[in-house]
Amino acid sequence: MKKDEIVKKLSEKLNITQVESKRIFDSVFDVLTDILSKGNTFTETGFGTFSVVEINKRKGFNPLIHKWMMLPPKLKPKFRASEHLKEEVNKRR
Amino acid sequence: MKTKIIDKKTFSEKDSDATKKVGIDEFSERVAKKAEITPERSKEYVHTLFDLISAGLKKEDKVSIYKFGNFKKKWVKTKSGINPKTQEKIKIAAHNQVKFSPSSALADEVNKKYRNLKPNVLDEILTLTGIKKISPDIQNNIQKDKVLHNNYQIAKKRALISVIGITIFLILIIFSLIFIPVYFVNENNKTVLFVKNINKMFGLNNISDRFVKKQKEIIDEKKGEEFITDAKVNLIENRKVIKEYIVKNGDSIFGIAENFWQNQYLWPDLYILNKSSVSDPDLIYPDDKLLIYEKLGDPEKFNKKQKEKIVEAFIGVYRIYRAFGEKDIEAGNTKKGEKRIYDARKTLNIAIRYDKDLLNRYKDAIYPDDIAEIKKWQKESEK
Repeated sequence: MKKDEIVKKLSEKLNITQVESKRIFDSVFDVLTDILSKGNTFTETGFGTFSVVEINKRKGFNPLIHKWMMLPPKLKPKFRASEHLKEEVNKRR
Repeated sequence: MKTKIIDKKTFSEKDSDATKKVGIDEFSERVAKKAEITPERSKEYVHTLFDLISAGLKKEDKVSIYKFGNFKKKWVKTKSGINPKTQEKIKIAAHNQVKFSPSSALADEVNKKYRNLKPNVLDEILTLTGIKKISPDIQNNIQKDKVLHNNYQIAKKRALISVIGITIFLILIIFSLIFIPVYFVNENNKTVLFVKNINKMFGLNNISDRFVKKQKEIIDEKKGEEFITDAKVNLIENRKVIKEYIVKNGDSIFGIAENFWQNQYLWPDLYILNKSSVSDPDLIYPDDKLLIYEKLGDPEKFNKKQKEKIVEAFIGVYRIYRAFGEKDIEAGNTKKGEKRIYDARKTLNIAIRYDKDLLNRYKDAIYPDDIAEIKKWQKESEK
């Protein structure tokens, strides 16, 4: 499933135009990236939690140049699925 | 769908400044501000949006949101795990897992703080020694290798030095084998014989022989013949035949030389050139044929080369006289033999006018007693 499909279905369900639906959709994810870029977490109950993890600097092997590298620390977005989502995904029809 | 509204007060109490937990209320408010709609509507929108995504994950493997990331469903096989509370082994049943992979735009945005840092290349030794996982066995092996390498290099140096030493020693031995017989010439000595044998083995026989030959050689007749033929070849070089002369009664070689070359002292030249037809220089018979060549040159203005040639001719004649004389003495005609030997000495004495160093230069070709005799004569003439 892709963005266009989701926008279309939302417009059908909420009785709004597709243009407006797309505008709201974009703003939702803008806000979400803004929250994550500040290092905060966002939890949608029944879906999961978006958070940011800091990964320490570490040694890694670069297979291209065949050398060991010191990789810098890194901030990485993380998603943790809620129990509800897990159940939903594993449901058998 | 389960919904749980987080109380704002409890939220603010729990979290301090660093990381803030954003709930649905604050979120929907912010979305409402940005999209310019009412917060209730935005809340409804957000809920339905995430419901749709989870519904999509049910049906399909992948839900992708452009410029945000992908939600993926991954099938995990049954595996064994440990319950962290009770430390018991558990079997985890096969199940679907939801995974989120952020898009590069989102990852960049989140990693703003460390964006400028780049990975550095580490020294190999540092990485080898710095890794904690490396086992002590491997570290020991690395140290052993270092020690072995050092030992190897030391051994290499020693081997080089020893090889150079051995070669110098061998060269000295070879040189000594060549030169020992030179300074200790004694053919009956066992050591000299031994060294000679060794020299033969290495093909050095000729070199050592040359030095051993310091002893006086006895001149034999055959060698004299060789000398004469050499002299003949030298004399014929670049000379033309003027005439064929047939010997008459009363002719002598001196007379013929006088006739054609105006100098009777050049007769050895004439004689050696006709050696094949005339064996005894004192005896020529009528009707013998003599080949007469061009004159060697003006005897008072001879070149060095011409002088050498004429001297060689003289020595050839000397040797022939000498050989005849000895034959006569052996046969019993001592008087005739002694006269021949006297003639031989006389010819040599004449040759000295062309080469003063003759006695030294042709040492090998002249008998030592003759040399002594001629030296005596010269001393007398000086007086």
